[in-house]
Amino acid sequence: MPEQVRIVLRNAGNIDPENIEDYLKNNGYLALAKALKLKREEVVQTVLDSNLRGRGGGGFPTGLKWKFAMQAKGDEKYVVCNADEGDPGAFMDRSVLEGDPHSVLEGMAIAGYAIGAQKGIIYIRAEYPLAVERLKVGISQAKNYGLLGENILGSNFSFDIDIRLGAGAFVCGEETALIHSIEGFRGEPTNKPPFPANSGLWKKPTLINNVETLANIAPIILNGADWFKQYGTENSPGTKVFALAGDVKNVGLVEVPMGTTLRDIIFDIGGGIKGDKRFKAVQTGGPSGGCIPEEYLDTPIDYDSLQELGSMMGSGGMIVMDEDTCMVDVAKFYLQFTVDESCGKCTTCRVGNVRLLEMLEKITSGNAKMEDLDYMVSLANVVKNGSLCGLGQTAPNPILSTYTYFEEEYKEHILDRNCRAGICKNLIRYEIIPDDCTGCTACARVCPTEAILGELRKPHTIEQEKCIKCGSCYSTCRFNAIKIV
Amino acid sequence: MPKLKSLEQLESLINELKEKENKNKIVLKVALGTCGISAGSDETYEELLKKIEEENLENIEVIKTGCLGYCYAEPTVEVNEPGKEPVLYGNVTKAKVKDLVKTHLVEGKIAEELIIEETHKKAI
Ligand SMILES: Cc1cc2nc3c(=O)[nH]c(=O)nc-3n(C[C@H](O)[C@H](O)[C@H](O)COP(=O)(O)O)c2cc1C
Ligand code: FES
Repeated sequence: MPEQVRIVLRNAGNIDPENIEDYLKNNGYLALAKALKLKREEVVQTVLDSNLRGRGGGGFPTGLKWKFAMQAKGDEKYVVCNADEGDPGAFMDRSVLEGDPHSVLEGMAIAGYAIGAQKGIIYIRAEYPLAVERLKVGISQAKNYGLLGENILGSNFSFDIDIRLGAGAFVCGEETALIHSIEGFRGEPTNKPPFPANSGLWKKPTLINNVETLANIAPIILNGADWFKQYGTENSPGTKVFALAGDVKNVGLVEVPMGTTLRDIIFDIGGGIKGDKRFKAVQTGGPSGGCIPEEYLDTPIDYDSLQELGSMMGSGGMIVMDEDTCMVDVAKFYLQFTVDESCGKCTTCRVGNVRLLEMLEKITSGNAKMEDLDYMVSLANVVKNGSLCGLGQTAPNPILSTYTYFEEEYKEHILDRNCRAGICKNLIRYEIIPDDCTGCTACARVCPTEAILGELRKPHTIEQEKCIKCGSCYSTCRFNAIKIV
Repeated sequence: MPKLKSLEQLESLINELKEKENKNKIVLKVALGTCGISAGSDETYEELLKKIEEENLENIEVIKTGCLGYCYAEPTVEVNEPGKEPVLYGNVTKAKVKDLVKTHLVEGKIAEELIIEETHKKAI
């Protein structure tokens, strides 16, 4: 059994998040106190040495970002905690904030000291009221103890933290859009450079880090970079929190060293597939990521290996899919999400993704031709290369990865007008197996269009012209006498 | 609480808090994150307090924590007895609290049918 290693979740589930004394008892704020005794450069160097990479998705070296922000000129600087967490299926950041808010506050204060900022802002979606509440409690407690606010621990470093509520638009998690949103403008992205570290909030140097990234900071300062590097892989040290969801038995949060394999997470920690069905694919990285098939289950997970597979680490959502999943339909789900969430500023993303979605709809409804597949792939690449921000640049990933690994399923939809998972309505039919049907009439009674005919205690039949494929009969039949063909 | 003015003051407060802690009491941890609450863990929490009082059990503290990670088995309750490995119970709905209190806390036996195999392992 692979061991979970809890660095980020060191206290979550163990302490009362609304009681700062519980946090202190676990050596809380000692890392901040220690950092205040060091030079700013030394704090940044420790983070650099630890090789910690940003947990918000991109995996950019955190120490490097801190260094840029430290070196940026300006008497006013900001530390922003990105708690937007927009990926469907992801809830890691929420759990950290709800379970151990001080670990994030302490990380922010250390960051503030390191780069020379006096102000921190937590950008969090309004849909996370409990996390917001616990953060507020945490901030006020920390202030009472002199651990935030003026002259922290008697030093000449002062640092205050505010909370800003976001409306929960996915693109607002993108750092430039997030900055505009805090400034009171529409959450639209802009070109980089300039990077926020040089010109961010109100054009001042701004360090933006993800919740989980910040929760890693205090243990690194306290225990040192080498301690941190004993976990994980050389290029991706430390641990990663994953939100395991979908068709897996043990849905929940896991924190494992980087380099743990997908198989270990899904089959050991996750307990395998629900209902003992067959594994089909695992989706990582949210809408920016992709689907990974069975043959790559033994891949050790880190930023680079997932990217090589055409997916992404993303923020850590991991959605397990069983054999009853249609991969074209999955691509359609994510594309629909991106289309809904695109800010609309650039043409490739605004128009390109809508066209891609239309292609997928054509395929799933059985109206596509083989030429459409080539068109789809070339358009996907245009959107990828031509979009303004990370949302558009990664939007085609779900299509490209499912097409790479499940090309035959796309072709079946087109050539055989068949959806092997039985998901795409236009391509399936419900039929009654006469030998198994007892004539109990249950299916006929639930059918909303009266498409099922037959007498009591005699096998029934389905009139295909009337059937709207709602599946009510299928889920009602107690004798497994209805099949999808 | 007067504001802490130095590393030394913080260290001594931390030590004081560690020492002050009653090492002999039983601590029950109820996971009250969003996932837990939507599965009814706040009711479980209230019921635990009630049953513990009804049974006149002493030296027990019930605390609210965030999510433990076992979302599939919410509401979860972890029982920490001094000198023993923590025992993690899952699907402890309000109705099951009575059994848990009686079996584990009154009779001192493990309530096998509520247990989650893997207990919560700490890293540091
Ligand atoms: C469309 C889009 C959405 C994003 N959403 C989030 C998010 O919800 N949370 C987050 O931390 N980062 C998100 N990011 C990444 C941020 O832009 C940024 O890279 C990150 O917050 C930096 O923190 P880190 O270096 O600690 O990972 C998103 C990026 C894009 C392109
Ligand atoms: S929203 Fe950023 S490219 Fe479309």
